[in-house]
Amino acid sequence: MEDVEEQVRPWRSSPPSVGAVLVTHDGARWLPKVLDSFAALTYGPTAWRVVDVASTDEGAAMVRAAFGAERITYAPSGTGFSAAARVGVDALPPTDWIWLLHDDAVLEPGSLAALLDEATSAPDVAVVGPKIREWPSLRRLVEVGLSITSTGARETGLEPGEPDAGQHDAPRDVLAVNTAGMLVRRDVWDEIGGLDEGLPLFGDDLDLGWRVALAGYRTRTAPAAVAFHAEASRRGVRPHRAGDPPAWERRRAALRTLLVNVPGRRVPWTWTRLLVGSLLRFLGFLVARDAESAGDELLAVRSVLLRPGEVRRVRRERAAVRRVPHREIAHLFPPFWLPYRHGWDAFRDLVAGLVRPETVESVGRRSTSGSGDPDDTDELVELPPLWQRRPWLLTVLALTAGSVLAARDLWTGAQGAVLLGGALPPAPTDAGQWWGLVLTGAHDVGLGSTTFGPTFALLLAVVATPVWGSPGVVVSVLVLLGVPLAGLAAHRLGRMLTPRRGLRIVWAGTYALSVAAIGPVAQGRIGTIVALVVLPIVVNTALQLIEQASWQVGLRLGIWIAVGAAFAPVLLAMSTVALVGLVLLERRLLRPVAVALVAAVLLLGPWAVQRALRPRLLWWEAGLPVPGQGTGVHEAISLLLGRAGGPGQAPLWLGAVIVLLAVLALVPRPTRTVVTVCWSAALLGLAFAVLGSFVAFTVPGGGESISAWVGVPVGVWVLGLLTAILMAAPEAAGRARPVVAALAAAALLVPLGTATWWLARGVDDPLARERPTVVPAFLTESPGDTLVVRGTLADGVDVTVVRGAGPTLGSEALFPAQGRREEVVEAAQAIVSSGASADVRRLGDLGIRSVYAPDVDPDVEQRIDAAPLLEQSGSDRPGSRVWTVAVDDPAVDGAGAPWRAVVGTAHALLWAGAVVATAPVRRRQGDRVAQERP
Amino acid sequence: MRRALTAVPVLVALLLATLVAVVPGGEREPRGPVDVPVEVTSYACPGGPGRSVVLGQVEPGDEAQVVRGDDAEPVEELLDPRVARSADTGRADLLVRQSGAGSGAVGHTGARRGGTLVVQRCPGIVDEAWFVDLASTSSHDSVLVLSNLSAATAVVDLALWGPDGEVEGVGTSGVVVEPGEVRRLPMTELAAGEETLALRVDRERGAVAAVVEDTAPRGRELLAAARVPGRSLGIGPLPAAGEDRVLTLVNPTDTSGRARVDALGPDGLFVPEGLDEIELPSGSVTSVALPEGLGEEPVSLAIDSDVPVTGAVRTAGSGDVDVVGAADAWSGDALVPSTVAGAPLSDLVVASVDGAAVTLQGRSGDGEVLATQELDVAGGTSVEVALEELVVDGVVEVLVRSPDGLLAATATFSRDGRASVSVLPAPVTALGPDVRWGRPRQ
Repeated sequence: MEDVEEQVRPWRSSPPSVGAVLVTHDGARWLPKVLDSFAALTYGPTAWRVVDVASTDEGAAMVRAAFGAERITYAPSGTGFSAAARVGVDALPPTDWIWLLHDDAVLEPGSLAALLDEATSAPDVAVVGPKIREWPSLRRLVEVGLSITSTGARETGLEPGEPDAGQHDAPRDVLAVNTAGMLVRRDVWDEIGGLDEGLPLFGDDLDLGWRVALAGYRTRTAPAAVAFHAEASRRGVRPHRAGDPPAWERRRAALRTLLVNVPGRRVPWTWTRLLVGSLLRFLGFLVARDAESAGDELLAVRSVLLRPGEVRRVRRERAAVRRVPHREIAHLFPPFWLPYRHGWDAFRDLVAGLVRPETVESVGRRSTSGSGDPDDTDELVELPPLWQRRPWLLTVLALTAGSVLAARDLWTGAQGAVLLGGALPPAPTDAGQWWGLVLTGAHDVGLGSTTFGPTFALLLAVVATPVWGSPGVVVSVLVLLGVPLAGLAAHRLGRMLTPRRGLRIVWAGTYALSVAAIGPVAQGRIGTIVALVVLPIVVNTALQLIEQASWQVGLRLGIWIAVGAAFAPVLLAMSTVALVGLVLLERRLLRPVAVALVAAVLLLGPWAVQRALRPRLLWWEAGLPVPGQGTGVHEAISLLLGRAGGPGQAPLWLGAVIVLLAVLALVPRPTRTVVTVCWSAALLGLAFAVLGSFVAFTVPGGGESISAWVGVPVGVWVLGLLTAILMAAPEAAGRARPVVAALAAAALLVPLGTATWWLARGVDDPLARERPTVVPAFLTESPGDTLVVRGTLADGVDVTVVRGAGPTLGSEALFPAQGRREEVVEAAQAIVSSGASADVRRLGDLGIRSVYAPDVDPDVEQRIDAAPLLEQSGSDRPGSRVWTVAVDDPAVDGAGAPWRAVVGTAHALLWAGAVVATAPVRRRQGDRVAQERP
Repeated sequence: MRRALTAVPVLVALLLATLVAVVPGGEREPRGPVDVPVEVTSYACPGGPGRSVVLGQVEPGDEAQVVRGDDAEPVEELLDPRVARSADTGRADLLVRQSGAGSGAVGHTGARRGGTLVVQRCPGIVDEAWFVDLASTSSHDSVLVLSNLSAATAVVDLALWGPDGEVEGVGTSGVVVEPGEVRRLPMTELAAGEETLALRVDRERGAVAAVVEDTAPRGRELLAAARVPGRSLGIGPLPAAGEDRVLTLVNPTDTSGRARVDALGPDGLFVPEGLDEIELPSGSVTSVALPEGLGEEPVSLAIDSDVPVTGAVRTAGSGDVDVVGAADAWSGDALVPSTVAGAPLSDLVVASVDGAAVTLQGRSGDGEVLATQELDVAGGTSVEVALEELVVDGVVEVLVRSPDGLLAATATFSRDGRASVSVLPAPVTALGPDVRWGRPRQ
């Protein structure tokens, strides 16, 4: 077979001469195998030259023994690969080709022959590179040709961890190839000046390939040639020595490579883009608390972008050998959108990371850690089926698919339709309105408002900013995908609670489904949904606090409490009680708990103060204040069985199974203590639910007395009971088989039964996707506010004032200046009793220009009709009436004090600061930054 | 013991749930109509030959606007809302709007012409007005007067009944009254040739007042709206008079019924002869002559029917007619002028089914109390007020105050004829819905 191959290689008849240059630097760890691979080459170089860069290990002796001292050149410490290669090439006798080699790259025996096959295939081929696979795994591709993105990122065109199945075995033109195994035509090397010594460590290969292409030559891949590259420097397994390039060299190299090679007319744009990109990266590193990388970014910018003279000099030098316009090599560069796809990949990795803990074996990822031992070679193994390897991933996918199915009528609707209904007002038209609620002092809502916007609007604004024009997407995801989100949060908590994977998944899945079962999804109670998603994270962080009583963990706990309480303020009260109880038991936790509570209160900001001044408003969650179920026998049973009342809650008997199992969980003695703790937490939730059942509140300005909704405390009650069951479940193993089977069946009945109910009923009604109809469409565009009147003479009349199409999520929590609502009520009372022009003028003075009665009874309608200065106007549908207030005086909303905007901005910055302060500090390992090549 | 402690969490949970089951929570409070001080009172005084008006109020008002219906010109002598004032206005219809919280503005209009006396209270905005004992013949014609009291167009629907059933009127649906307009609709144009008619006015849009100008062979009268049909009805008190009296009832329902009439005389309740069972055919008007002996003493009629009815009593004297319609018994303050169109208040009769304590004040034009009379009206009686003790020198109006018990009262003016007016409370307060701030709904 070998002979057959030999016969088809045309260059065999007149073999070209090849001078190999091996650069070594403390590579004793890999050199034995590397040198062995050289010895096994079926076709070897004509000449060898080794350049050792101040090795302090046995590597120098190894190469001396292998090549003889006469073939070795010693370079001083700090010599980059480019300079070392140049030294080696200069020491070689003249040859047709130069072959650059690394001390951490093993070659397959036929590598050089395969490279020459490709190198001699056409006269304009100047550079050829092998297919590089990962060492030690040997099966994952590292590079088969290279390019560079417009942001300076090194682009291989490969998926992360892509295994080599021959899919890239067709030789092709590329911008560059790695210097590990790179074969370069000697005359071209001399013509373009070899590797750029201004790029001592990174980017020299890309720079060389770019210059080769501009000189009119081609760079090809030769996938038949295979190198296994340990990437010792990138992985941080090569020790860092004095004199090695600094850590910011990688970024500097990227900036320099782009700036010295892009077409001249694009230099200003590239410079600007790189500067902005670098500043964004700098901020990103700061947020991630990676101060060293942030500093590196600035150093790289200073080194390249702030030295235009150096860039001009290099560009001038290279202009002499440029023969090809850039447009002819444009196909060698990745598309413009590739950096954004990388961003998406990073996000995808983040999500995958959330579900990966259940992975039995990780494949398809390039390993970034490990021993790095070249002998530690993995073998391809037969993998178990996906449901065994990633059961939690499948569970999450099932919950997500279930959510999509359960919300089948809510994903799409007529043009202009939005998700609303129950307690959920429509989302604003853009994220800027949420920002406006936080950052401005005066708000454009009915009657005007200068109160502080709700804190949850700030959080929604942050999340919705990437989808600026479609904030409804965020609301839809939170409401309709609340179940899988709660499952993800619960599962992370479950990892702290039990090592038993199966129990953990059933537990997390059951809790996730309880978010739908309690009733908030169908009722559009976004506050409860978010709070129940955050609840396991709060518990998780509190458990971490018990283990590690530090202020950082306390701050993190405070942040999560604030996130949940921003949407459901009662969570703050419950957390306070729970944490105070914790401190009474564990005095050492006093300081971090204090940090947590103070942080939570501060992060909730001035809005929380507004709520605290009316303590009953703690029960008013994000969204419209829709009444809860109140008290009574049925309500008591409902609470006990984990239901908060209202439409869209699961059958009570499913909750009865949970309670029954939780009671049984108290039986096993070994787990009784921890189960009792779980019951105590559950009882805290039940106690708050009971308390809430007695509470009724009115929104500022008076009005309807609203029974508190107790969905969040009921969620705590359910989570506590489920956790009690989880903790006692292992004890069931020792029981008789029928008992175990019965308990398992009961435990599975809850999630399966709930899921069946969930999918069958769906999560609509009252939640719906439709056009907002608070006021007729023609009134939404008319100037001024609209007084909406509902009710009857006998049962009372409700009035409210809306601006435009009515309140959107966040603005419903605002209220006008003291007394304005009372004034409206008084004027409306007078109008429907014995209307006078003065009463109508009062409405006009308040900025009300229309009166809308969507379903008012004839008695009240006649009374409004009789009022002076109210002119009958058209309406949108039978049974409704509209009047126009015939008052010309322009109404003026109260202007917000400037300091309110300052407070809002400070509030937003406080959140940013708190999040940054709790992020783990990333520190670079001492040996992480080292030469990529010796 | 330890096993018993195991049950503690369960017991606590049950205890908490029991609290929710047995302890009443913060449920929403029931809501119902509430009394609201009237800020502004609007009414219309129809004009006519020799017509004059008397305007007054329970408490001084803040501002009064009195304009003529034809040219919207103000009537200067009637603009002081603090005093009782009068003026001869002739044919001009007046539109009155008086402000002042709880002022209780009231107007009366009257005229003496050709030996007949016309007096009526100026009507305010009505939702549903009923007029009984109308006609559309050449000898007896009734004219509906609709006055728009607001700046918006008013729309009313009309319905008519006669002795033979509901009458198909012409142009009775969607009758439009433009802002400031006083529109007259003769019954002869709506349903000509009917000797007895009952009319319902339904306000569909706007603010409109309604009154009927009635011209009969034996005199003229302004008819105020009777109360809406009900199963228990009061008419009167009727002042003592010896002439013919006819009770007219309208049953607008689809069901025939029967009515029983009780009379509340000075000595108590009795059943007039022949009035213990009156047949009321469905959807028709029924007229019954009252026994002659019934007119010798002040008397009120209490009618109990098994179908909703309303009605009026027409008294025909030698030279004038006098119509008293069904009215709701009331409590509160009412104002009666001592003189209208030169005709003095001759009789004031009060009646109560359950008994009421009544205070009567003779007041000067600026509200000063010049004479007071306390009167206990026994249940089931009609009592005539001794006006000579009340209407002393300087008294221009009589305040009838019945703070507790429900009362009915009729004032009769006599000079060149006779006219009776149902005394109704001044609009000091109005029943309004309980209005409160609500929450936006989708």
